[in-house]
Amino acid sequence: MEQTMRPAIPGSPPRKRGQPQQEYIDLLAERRQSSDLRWAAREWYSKGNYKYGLQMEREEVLSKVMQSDRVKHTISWLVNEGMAHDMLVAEAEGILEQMAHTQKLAIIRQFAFILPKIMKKIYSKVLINEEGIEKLRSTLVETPVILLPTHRSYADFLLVSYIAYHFDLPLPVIAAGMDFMGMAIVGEKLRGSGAFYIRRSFMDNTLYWAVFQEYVQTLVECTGSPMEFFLEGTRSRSGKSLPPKIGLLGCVAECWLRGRVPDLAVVPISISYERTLEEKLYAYELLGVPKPRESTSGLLKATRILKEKYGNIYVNVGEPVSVRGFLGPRVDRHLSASIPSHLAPLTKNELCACEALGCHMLRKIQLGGVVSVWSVVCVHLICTLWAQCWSLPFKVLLQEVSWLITILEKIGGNIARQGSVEEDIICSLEVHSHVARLGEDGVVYIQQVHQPDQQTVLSKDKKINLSSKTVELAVTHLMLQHYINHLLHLLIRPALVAHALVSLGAQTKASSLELLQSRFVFLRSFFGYDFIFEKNMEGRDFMEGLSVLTWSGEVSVIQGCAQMMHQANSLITLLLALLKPFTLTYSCAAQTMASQEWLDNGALVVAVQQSIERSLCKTTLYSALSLDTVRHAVRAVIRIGAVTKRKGINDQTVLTPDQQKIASITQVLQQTSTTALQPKL
Amino acid sequence: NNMASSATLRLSVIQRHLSSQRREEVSGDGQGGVGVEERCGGARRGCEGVVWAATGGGERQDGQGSDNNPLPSLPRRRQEVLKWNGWGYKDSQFVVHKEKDYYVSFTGNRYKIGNLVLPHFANWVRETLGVNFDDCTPPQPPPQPQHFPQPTIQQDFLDEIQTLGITHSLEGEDRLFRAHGHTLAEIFTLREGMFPRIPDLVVWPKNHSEVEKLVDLACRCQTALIPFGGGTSVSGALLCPEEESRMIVSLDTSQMCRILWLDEKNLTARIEAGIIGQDLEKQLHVRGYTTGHEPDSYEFSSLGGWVATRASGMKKNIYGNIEDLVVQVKVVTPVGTVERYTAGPRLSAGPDVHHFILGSEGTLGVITEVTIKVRPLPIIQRYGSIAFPDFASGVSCMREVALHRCQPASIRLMDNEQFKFGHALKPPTGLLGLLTDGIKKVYITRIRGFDVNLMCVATLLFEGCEQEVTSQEKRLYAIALNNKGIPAGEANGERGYMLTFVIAYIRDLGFDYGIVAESFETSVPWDRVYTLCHNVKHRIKSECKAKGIQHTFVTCRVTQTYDAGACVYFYFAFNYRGLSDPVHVYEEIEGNARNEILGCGGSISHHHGVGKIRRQWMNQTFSEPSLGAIRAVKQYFDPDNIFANGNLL
Repeated sequence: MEQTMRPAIPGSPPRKRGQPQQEYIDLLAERRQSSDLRWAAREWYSKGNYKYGLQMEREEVLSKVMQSDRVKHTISWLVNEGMAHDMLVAEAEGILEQMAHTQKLAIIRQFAFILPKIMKKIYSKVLINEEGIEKLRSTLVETPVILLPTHRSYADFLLVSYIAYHFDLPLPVIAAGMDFMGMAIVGEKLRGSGAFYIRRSFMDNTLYWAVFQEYVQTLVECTGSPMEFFLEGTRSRSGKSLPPKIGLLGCVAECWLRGRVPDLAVVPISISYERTLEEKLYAYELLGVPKPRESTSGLLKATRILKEKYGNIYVNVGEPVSVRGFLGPRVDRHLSASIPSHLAPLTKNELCACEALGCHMLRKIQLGGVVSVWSVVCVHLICTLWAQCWSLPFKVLLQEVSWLITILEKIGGNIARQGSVEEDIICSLEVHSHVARLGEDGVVYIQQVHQPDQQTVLSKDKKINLSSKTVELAVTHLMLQHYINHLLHLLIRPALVAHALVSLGAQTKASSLELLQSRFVFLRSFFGYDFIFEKNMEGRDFMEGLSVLTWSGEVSVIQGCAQMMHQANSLITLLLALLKPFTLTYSCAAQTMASQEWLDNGALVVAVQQSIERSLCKTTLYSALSLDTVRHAVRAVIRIGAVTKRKGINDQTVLTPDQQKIASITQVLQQTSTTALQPKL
Repeated sequence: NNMASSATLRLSVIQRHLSSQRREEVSGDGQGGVGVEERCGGARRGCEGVVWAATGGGERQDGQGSDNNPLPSLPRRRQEVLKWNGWGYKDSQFVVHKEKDYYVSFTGNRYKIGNLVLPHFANWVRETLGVNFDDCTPPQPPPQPQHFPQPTIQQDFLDEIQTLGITHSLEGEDRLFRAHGHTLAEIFTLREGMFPRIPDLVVWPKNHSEVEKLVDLACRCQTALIPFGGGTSVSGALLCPEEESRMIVSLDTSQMCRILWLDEKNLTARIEAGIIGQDLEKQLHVRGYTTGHEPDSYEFSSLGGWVATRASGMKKNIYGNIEDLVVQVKVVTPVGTVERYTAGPRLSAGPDVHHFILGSEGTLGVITEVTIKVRPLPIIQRYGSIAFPDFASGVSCMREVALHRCQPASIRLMDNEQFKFGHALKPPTGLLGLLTDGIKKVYITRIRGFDVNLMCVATLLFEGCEQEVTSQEKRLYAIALNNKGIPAGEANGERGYMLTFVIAYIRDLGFDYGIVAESFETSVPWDRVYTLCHNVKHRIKSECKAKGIQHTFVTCRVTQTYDAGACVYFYFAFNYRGLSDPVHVYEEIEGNARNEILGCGGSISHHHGVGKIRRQWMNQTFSEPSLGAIRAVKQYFDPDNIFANGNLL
C-alpha cells in the first residue's frame, strides 16, 4: 500500500455551518452512581407545560374527536354514499380505540427503571446537549411542539421519552406504526407510555383519514403535548436520511395553516449511534433478505445484543424551527381561510411548502448529527476493500483518518471526539471488532462478517437473488457503507460539484461556472432521493460545494471559469470514489430500464440489482447492491422522464424507455470512470 | 326608578357635552349663540328656540348660525376647543398628580369619571406597563408660524375663491389640524416632529353648491382636494401624499351641518354631510328622534365621514350600520353630482351606485347631503353585564345570542385583560359601594369559582319599552346561563360603555410616560372568533418579545355580532423606553398582527377603513379583477386624480 502525503490544510474554512461546539452531558453517569428503582420512583412532574394546554383525559379526547365537524361531516358524507350511520360511528370509534394512546406515568416509570439498566449494559455513554433541552423547555411553554427525531434503530423509539423523563419535560405522544401494536405486552406498554398507532397506508380510507387527522390535531391544539414522529417514516437501513414523509407533518402543520394555533415549533433531534443495533440485519435487508416481523419473541432473541458493546449515543436537540416563520412566506393562508377548516384540505401549494419544511428539517437533523470516528474509519476501510485488500497498517489508517477529520471539521461536521485521534480509532475498533480488528502487529484486519451457517437460516425464509459469493463479500461492504453514509451529507455537495467538473472534462480545460452549476443542479436533482437537499436552494448548495473544492486548493476559479489543479487532488479523488457505488447503481438502473419495457414493480428492482452484480466482476463496489439505492435510482430515472409511463393490462404501469435521454444520463454518470483519475487507494 | 334614570343619565352625558361646549364657544369665538342654562334638567330644554323647517339648501351668512339651525358644537377653529396634538376636548384629560405617591385623575365634567381621582390606575399602569412616573416626556409646544411647511399656492384658485366669497384660511394651525387623523404615527408626529406635507389651504364651503364650485375650480386649476369631516380617521386617510406637487386644498365640511328636513311619515331626514354625531343626535333628540348611529367617535366624527368609511355604530343591532341607514347620498365628483333619485326602500336596478360611495374614503368626491333613517327615541335604556368564567364561554354565549338573533341594542365581550383594566379605572367607592362590590366579588370568585385571571365580562345595552327590555333581559340571561355566564349588574355594564369614550384619552397620557398604544379591528366568521383572538394576541406578544419589548398590554373585545360572524377590536400598548423608533416598531407589529388576522380568516377592516396604512392588504382581500373594477370607478369619476388622498389602492 502506497502512502500518500496529504497536503496541509490551508487557513480558514470556507464557511461556518455547524453550531459552535456544544456541551454534551452523559445521561448514564448519574445512573451508574445510584439506584435505578429510586430513579424510577422519584417524585415526578413535568416542567415546561404548554401555557394554553388543557389537561384532557383519554375519554375527553376521544369524544372531542367523535364530536368534531370533520368526523361528523365525513360520516354523513359516507351515509349519503349508502353506508349505515351506526355502523360508521362504530367503525370510527373502533379506529379511535385502536389508535389512541393512554399516557400513564406508572408505565413511564417502568421504562425509566428498565431502560437505564439496558443502556448501562450496552452503551458507554448517552450524551445529550443540555442547552437544547432548556431551549426546548422554554419553547414548549409558548407553543405546541413537534419533535422530529432521526430513525435509525428501534432504540430511537423510547429514547426521546426517556430523555423527557430524565429532564422533567412534558412526555411526548408518539406516532407508531401498527406493526408495533401486535407485539404482546410491549405493544400495550408502548401505548401506555404515549404511543398511538397508525396504519401504514390509509390515504384511500376516508373515515380513517378523518379520524386520524382529528385525533392528531386535537392533541396538538388542545393538550399541547409534544408530538413525536419520525419524519423519514421508517428506520433508515442505509444510515442516510430518507426522503421526508409529509403525511403527518402536513397534518400537524394544518393546525397552523388553518389558523387554529398561533404557531408550532418543530424541533429536530439527531440521534447518532456509534454502533447501530440492527447493523447486520440492515446489511442483509438491503441485499434482499426480508426483515423478520416484529414480535416479542423476536425481541427476546435480541437479548444476545445485551452481551455486546455499542459505544456511545449522541443526542442533539436542535434549535426549534417556527412553522409560522418557515411556512409563512411560502403560503397564502387567507385563500383558504374563508372555507370551514374541516372542508379545506391542504392545497397543492401548501403541501409543497410542507415538503420544503420536511427537507429543511432533515437538513437541520443532518447538521445536528454527530459523526463517529468509526464512520471516518469506514471510509478508509472500504477504500481498502475496493483495492481488494483486507488489511492495512494502523499508521496509514491513522494518517488518513486524521486528514479526513480535519476536512470534515472545517466544513462544519461535528465529529465525536473523546481523546486523540489515535485513541478514538482504537476505541472504535474495539466497539466494532466484529468488522475490523487491530492486530498486535499494528495491522488492521477487516473481518468477513457473513458466516455460512447464518446463510442456511436465511435461505429457509426466502430465496436470495444474489449468489452466495456475492452475499459473502457484500455484507461487510454494506456494514461499512452504513457508517460512511452517516457522514456523506457533509461531503455530497463538493462531491457532486467534483463529479460535474470531471464529467465536463475540467481536468484538462476550464469550465464555465454557469455550465458547471447547471450540471450540478441536474445531478443534485437526479440523486435527490438518495441525498436530501432543501427545495429551491440549488445556488446555495452549489456555492457550498464549490467553495470546499476551491478552499482545498484543488480547484481554481478564474474569471467565471473553474478548473481542476493537476498537482493535488486527493480530496476530489476521495469524493469521486465515495460517489462511485451510487453512480454505478444509477447507471445500471438506467441501462436496465433502457433494455426493454418494464412493469413498475419488484421485478425491475431485482433485475437492476442483478445487473449490478454482473458488473461487479469489473469493480469491487459491492455497496452498489443496496436495494435502497436501487429503488431510489429507478424512481429517479422515472422522475426525470427518461421513461414514459402508461397503463397496461390490469392497470399496471408500463415503463417505456426513451433511449436518447437514457443514453445522455449514462454518459453524465459514467464519465468519471473513463477519466484518468482513479482513486489512489 | 333605576331604569328610567339610566336612560336619562345617558342623555345627560350628551347634554353635558353640549352645555359646556356651548359656553366655551360663546366666550371663545365671540359668536352669538343660543343661550343654554347651566345643567338643564331635560334634553329638550337646552335647545329651545330651534325652528324645525325645511331650509331647502338656502344660503346662510358666513359663520352665522342664528337663523334656522343651532350652531355646531365645535367652532370652525377647532383647535380652540379640541387638542391640537391629541384626542378630544382640551379640558378633558388624564393627569398624574404627585403627593405621597402618584395618582391619576380625569379632568373636566364632560364624562362620568370627570373630576374624579382614580385610586387604582397608577398602580395598574406601573405593574402592567412598567411605567416610571418620574420619567415624563411632555410633547413639543405648538409650532411657531415659521415651523409650518411653506404652502404651495395656486394663485388662480386662491383668487377665485376670494371672488366667490368662500371661507378659507392659509394659517398654519388650521392647515396642520387638517393634515392628520388619529393613528399612533400621526399623533406621535404632532408631539415630536412635523409632517413633511400638510394642506396648503383650508376651505369651508357652506353648502352643496359651494362644493360644486370648488370641485369645478379644482379641476380647472389642477389642484388636489382632500375632504375633511371630523378628523377622527385611524387609517392615515387624511395624510397628504408627500409626492403631491399640486396645491393641496383641505375641504372642511364642518360648516355644512344643517338638518334640511325631517320627514316624520317616512322616518327619514335630509342632512348636510358635515354634521358631527353629537350635534345630529342632539338636534334629533329635541324632536324625539334618533339615528341610533353611535360609533365610538360619534362626539367628533361626521355623517359624511361615516358614509365614506362604511362606519358601524355601537347599537347597530337595532338601527343597523351606516349602509343600512343611508337612503340617499349626494356626492360632488369631478364629472358631476352622483345621486340616486328615488327614496324607495329597496331597488332592483343593477349594482347599487351607493356602494361606490360607501367606503370610497374621499377618493371620488365630496359627500354633501345624506338622507338617513331616523327612529323615535327609545322609551327606556338599561345597561347590564354578564360575567363568564373564561373568554371561550363568553364567545360561545355571543355566538348563541347571534344564532337566536336576540341581540340587545349592544352586546360586547371584553377579555380578561380588559376586564381587569376596567377595574383599574374604578373611582373610589363609598361604603355601600365597597360592600356591594365586596359581596359581588365574593359571590363570583368564591361561590361560582371564577378565576379573576381568567374571567371576562360582557356588557349589554337594552333599548325599547319596559316590556320589551324585560323580556330581552330574561332571554339573554338564560342564554348566558347556558354558557356558564351569570348576570353581573347594571353598573358594570354602564361603566363599560362610558369607558369606550374615555379610553381614547388614555393614549395621550401614555405618550408622556413612554407608552404607545393603538387599536385596530377586524371582522371574522364565528367558527374562528376565538382562535383569531387567541392567535393575534399571542402573535403580538411574541413579536414584542422578539423585539425586546418587556412591558405590553394586549387585549381584545368582541364588539359586534352578526349572523355569520363578529367584529373584534384589539387594543395594544407597549412601553417603548429603550427603543429608538417606537412608531416603526409599532407599525411592524401591527402589520404582523394584520397578517395573522388574515391568516386566521379575519378581514382587513370592519369599520375603520383602509386609508393608507392598510392598502397593502387589499390584494389579499379582493382578486385582481375586483381591484381593477375599483380602479376603473376611480378613473371614471376622477380621471385627473383631483381627490388625491391616495386612499384604498
